[in-house]
Amino acid sequence: MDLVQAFLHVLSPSPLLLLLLGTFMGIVVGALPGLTGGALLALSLPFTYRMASADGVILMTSIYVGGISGGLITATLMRIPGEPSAVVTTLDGFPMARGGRPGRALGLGISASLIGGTLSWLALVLLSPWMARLALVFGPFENFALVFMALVLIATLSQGSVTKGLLAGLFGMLVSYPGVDETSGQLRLTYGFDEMAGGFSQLSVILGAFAVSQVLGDAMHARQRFDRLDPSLRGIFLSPGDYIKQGWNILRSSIIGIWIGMLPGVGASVSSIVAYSTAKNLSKTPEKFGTGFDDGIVAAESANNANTGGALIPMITLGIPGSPAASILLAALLMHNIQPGPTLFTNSPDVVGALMASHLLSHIAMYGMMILGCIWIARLMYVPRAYILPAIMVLCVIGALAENGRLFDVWTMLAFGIVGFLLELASVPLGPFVIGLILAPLAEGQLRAGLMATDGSIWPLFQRPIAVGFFAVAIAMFVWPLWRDLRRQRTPATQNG
Amino acid sequence: MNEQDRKSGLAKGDATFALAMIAVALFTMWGLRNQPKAPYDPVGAAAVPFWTAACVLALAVFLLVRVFLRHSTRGAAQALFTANEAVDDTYSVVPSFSVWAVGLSIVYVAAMPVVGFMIASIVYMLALGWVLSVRTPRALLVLAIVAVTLGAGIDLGFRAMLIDLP
Repeated sequence: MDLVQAFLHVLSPSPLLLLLLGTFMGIVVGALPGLTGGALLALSLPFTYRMASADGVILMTSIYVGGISGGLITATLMRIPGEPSAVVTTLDGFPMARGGRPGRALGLGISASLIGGTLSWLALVLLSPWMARLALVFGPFENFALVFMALVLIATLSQGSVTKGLLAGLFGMLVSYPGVDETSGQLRLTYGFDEMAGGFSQLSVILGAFAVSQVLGDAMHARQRFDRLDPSLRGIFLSPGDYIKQGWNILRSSIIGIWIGMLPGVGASVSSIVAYSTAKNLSKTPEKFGTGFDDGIVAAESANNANTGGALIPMITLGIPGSPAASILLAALLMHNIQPGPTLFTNSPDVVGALMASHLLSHIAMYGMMILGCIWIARLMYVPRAYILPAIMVLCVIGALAENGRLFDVWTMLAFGIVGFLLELASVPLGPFVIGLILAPLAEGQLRAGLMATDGSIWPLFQRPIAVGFFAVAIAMFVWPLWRDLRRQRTPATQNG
Repeated sequence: MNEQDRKSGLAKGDATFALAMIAVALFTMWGLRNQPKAPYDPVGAAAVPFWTAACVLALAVFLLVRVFLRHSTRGAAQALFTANEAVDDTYSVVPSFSVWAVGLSIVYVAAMPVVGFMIASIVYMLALGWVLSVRTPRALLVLAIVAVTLGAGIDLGFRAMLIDLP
């Protein structure tokens, strides 16, 4: 993989246009409350069909980066986080903006986002080849154990109940099974319907779960109105002294963001929460956090952008997405018949290069667009949802039709949109559902390949140290929160008794 | 909504979710009952889906028991990390809008093969926009312009890209 060539490709006119368009759309959707970058990623998935794989990756990566970054604008100016990952930014961003320094609040957030994203790009470039080489020694059983561990981690580490997270992941796996079984060539779970022979279209299910469910949920908030704003941008450019003063905070928060990003299924919101809490706990002036303090904005924003690079590392090297949004990127690669994993670096170096180059360049584009246009982007919030939501729904329908032109796929999308909406109402996380849907074919294929090699004996699975290690981590991660919960319930009883 | 109502609503949601998952697992197991075995495949095409359905069944029963025993099923109680939720309650949330959105979307998809993509999309955008908007003359005019422009524009654009639309 030649990174210089990749940068030159991304900087050529057509890919660059895609990158700028993706970053801009990501920022806009990230800034709008309700709609998330994940929904936009799902929505743009079908439009990458007719593109070269590398160009599709450029568009998706730039939307991903823009989506994570845009949330800080409305979080800072209006205390309305456009993205869940920007919730923590409101704690200090809004008080600072309300205190008469909106330009500085935005400047701190945008600059921290750029540096956090750049550091995570460095991690992506330096760690990915190393991790891919490590993964080359994995056989089918190790790969199965890895996917198994990832599914348990996703359920345990995502926000919400562990049981419900696991159930959501397993439900996603069940949805992936109908259709032709790739190992035996047999039809299964079609219930006599011809349309089911091709199974549920992965794209339609993702569109339904991420985009349609959000439209249905957002409809409830159609009457939400926002205060007019007319802030000044004075102080949006930071001085060299600011960068030096915040250096350690940015570095620490970025490392937290990268590390949490690498954990399967954990999104940017967890990164910003952990980085903010750490910055506050280690601060000499913790009482200033929440009052419009520089360190709070910087910690939250550098961590959530650092999460993007971290989440891409396991995705390209192991085929395990580091966040729900990265799972849609993974789906995009699979739809282009590109199998992420250690062989990606040798089989599709152009795709790896495009992903890495566009990750850094979209951070730079994000910085320019947000510094210059954050106020205008924030004003897009005034466009009533009555105009936006029906149009998004029509685009979802187009997306579902684009794959095979089958109306069955549109019904699938609508059905899973309603399912996703109901799951959200029941506080069931959707991330594990989508990741289960995407990882199940990989897990099943690897397990059955291993079992064929051992004449159906499962024991070799437990005789391989790496596989056993993955299982041990999975079991520990499953048992720990349950044990901790049990202890919490017992402690008050003991104290009262 | 007070804390008691919220907990009660969450428990009902969890119980409904658990029951739905039990139904899905049983339906999957039923669908696999006659799956033939492949001669060269030691486990067969039914094995992994069946194991997954069994796990779903076990976990759903576990969740149901927890709800029944009134153990905490609150996400925050078990998750390793918890988030702050910014709640903006300065406007009224209208749940019936979501019901309208679901109903109109079903009618939209059903009508598409009959009246065609363009007409169905324009009518759908007008109808859902009408439900969601504040219904001032200006808002309705803008809505009509948006619906017609987008409906016709998307249709023509995608036909030009050779995407087969109803």
